[in-house]
Amino acid sequence: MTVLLFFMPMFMFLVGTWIYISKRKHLMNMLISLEYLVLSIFMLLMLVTFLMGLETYVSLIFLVASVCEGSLGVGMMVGMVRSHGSDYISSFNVLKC
Amino acid sequence: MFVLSMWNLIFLLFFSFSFILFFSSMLFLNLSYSLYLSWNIFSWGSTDINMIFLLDWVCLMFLSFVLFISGSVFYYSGEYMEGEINLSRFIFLLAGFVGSMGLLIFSPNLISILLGWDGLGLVSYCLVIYYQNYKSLNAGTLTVLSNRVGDVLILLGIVWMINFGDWSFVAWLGSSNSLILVSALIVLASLTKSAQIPFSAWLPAAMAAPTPVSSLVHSSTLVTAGIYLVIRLGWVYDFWMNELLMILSVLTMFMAGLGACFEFDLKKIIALSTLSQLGLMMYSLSLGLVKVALFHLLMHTLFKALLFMSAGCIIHGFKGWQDIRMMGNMMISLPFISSCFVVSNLALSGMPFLAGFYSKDMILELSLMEELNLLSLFMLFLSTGLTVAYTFRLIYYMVRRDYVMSGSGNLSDGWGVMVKSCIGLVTFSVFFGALISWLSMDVNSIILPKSLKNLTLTVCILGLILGFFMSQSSYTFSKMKFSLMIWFSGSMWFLPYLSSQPMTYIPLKLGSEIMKFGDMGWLEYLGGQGISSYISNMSLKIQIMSMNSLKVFILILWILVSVFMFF
Repeated sequence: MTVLLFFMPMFMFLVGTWIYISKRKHLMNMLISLEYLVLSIFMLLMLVTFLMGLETYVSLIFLVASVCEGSLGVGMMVGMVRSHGSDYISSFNVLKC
Repeated sequence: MFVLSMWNLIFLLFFSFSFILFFSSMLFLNLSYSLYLSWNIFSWGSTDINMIFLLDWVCLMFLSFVLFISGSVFYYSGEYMEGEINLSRFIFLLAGFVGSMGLLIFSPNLISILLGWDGLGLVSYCLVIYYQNYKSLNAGTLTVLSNRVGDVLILLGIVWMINFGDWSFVAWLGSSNSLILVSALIVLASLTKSAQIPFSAWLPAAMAAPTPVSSLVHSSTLVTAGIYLVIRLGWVYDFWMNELLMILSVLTMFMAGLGACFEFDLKKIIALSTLSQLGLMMYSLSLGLVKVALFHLLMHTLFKALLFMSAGCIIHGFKGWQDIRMMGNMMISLPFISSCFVVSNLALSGMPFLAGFYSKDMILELSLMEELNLLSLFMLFLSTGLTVAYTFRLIYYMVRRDYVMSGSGNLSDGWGVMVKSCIGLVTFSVFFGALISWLSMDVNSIILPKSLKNLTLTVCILGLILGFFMSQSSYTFSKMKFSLMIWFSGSMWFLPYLSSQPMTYIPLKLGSEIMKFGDMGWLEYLGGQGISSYISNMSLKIQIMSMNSLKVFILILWILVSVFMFF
């Protein structure tokens, strides 16, 4: 029963990863999928710490870090829009910085 | 007026040294004294490295002759090389040459002989290529490569002599197999320096050098270095290479004598006469007549240097023209020089009681007393006759006949410096034969039947008739009927062609093949061009591969991470 509980966050994790790596048009897709991933990992973390009888505040620390990461991602997207004109992934060139 | 220029300074220095050395050599000879000077450079335990000079009467006398001739040549060059831009180069080269010769003369051990020998070869190369044109370049290359063979042989002799623990000739006690090998190598090396048969192409070619150089280097000192080395050796070992030496020297004598009868370049005729006399010296060495060979060496240096110097005066008067077909009537226009010329030519051909007579006649009569085979004796006397023949042919062409180039310009003695430098040499080439033979040579008793005793004189007179009178009708002998024989005899039995063309064909061909197939072919494919084109191709493909969306790389990264996590 407790193992079955893990299915949903795992499924969320896999779906989020799938969206992250698949080839889409916008950078915003990647950032939203990252937030989704964060949510799934938050849920997993809460579940694991509760079911093992540990303190659950570690998930708060994780949340703080993930918020910083989200804002960093948005800042990078803004920079990209300023330099490349839009957030299309196809305007990236791996060979040119 | 005697200008105290560098030429004259060196001339005075060398002259005074030459007289000092001559009298010291007479002193040493009378007291049977010799000086062994040894400077210990360093010693490690039982090994000593010494620089040794052995002064005995032979070296002192030879060096006095060398310095006398060099002094005269330096004084002579003061006029001959006037207007030359690179005077200091010339003076340094000549002085370096005399220094190397001195080192060779005084050294009893093979290492310092090699130093002098290599120095001689190198400096003579620099002097032959002094006038910078293609002819001098070819001549210089032929000279230095022929001399290099001799250097290699002496180096091999040095290697083999390590067994004795000492490289000096004084270490040769007793006889062993190594001694035979070392002496054979040294004799072969002297064959290259003294231009005997397989290696004689360089001597007429080296006449591309300026005339003072020819008179110092190619008549007296460089070519006699080989003979001198065998003479030094001859006091120590027992002549194991007699037959080979005799064959080669007799052939050289004959070839050179024959060649000089058909040659028309003045300096080449004199070079071929030098070659013939060198053959004669080698011949007397092969008979074991060491002291007589030394005597002939010394006398030969005197009159040959004189011959070159007077020929140089004539060439200078003609502003560089060397062909004797255009020369004539020297006796009227250049009386003193043509007298020197005639005197040295007569001394060369063995005119009785001039300098060459004492030594040359001694060799001929002593060889008649030996038990020789008929062929070598025949060729010896034939070569003697040919010597007289080309001598008198030359005298006819230059001195006896009338003007050929009428209105060609005036021929004069210049400032008189070149003339004055010949005075000492002509005096000595008249008197020194008798003087040296009375002072230092052994008295050999000659016991011969009357016919053999008169043979020398008969051969000389026949040669005179042949040379002098046949050359007056020289046009009839240049008909096409004998042209192959004349070409064969006149070009030294094709030795210059044999020494240059086959030797250079294979290396040049190999070189061009290596260049074409290697340097511009496979080595480029494996090296520079091949690698660069490969790299540019590969980087093009990599560029094509990496011009993808960023997501592809992230996908690949995720695959790798998941694989890494699950295994």
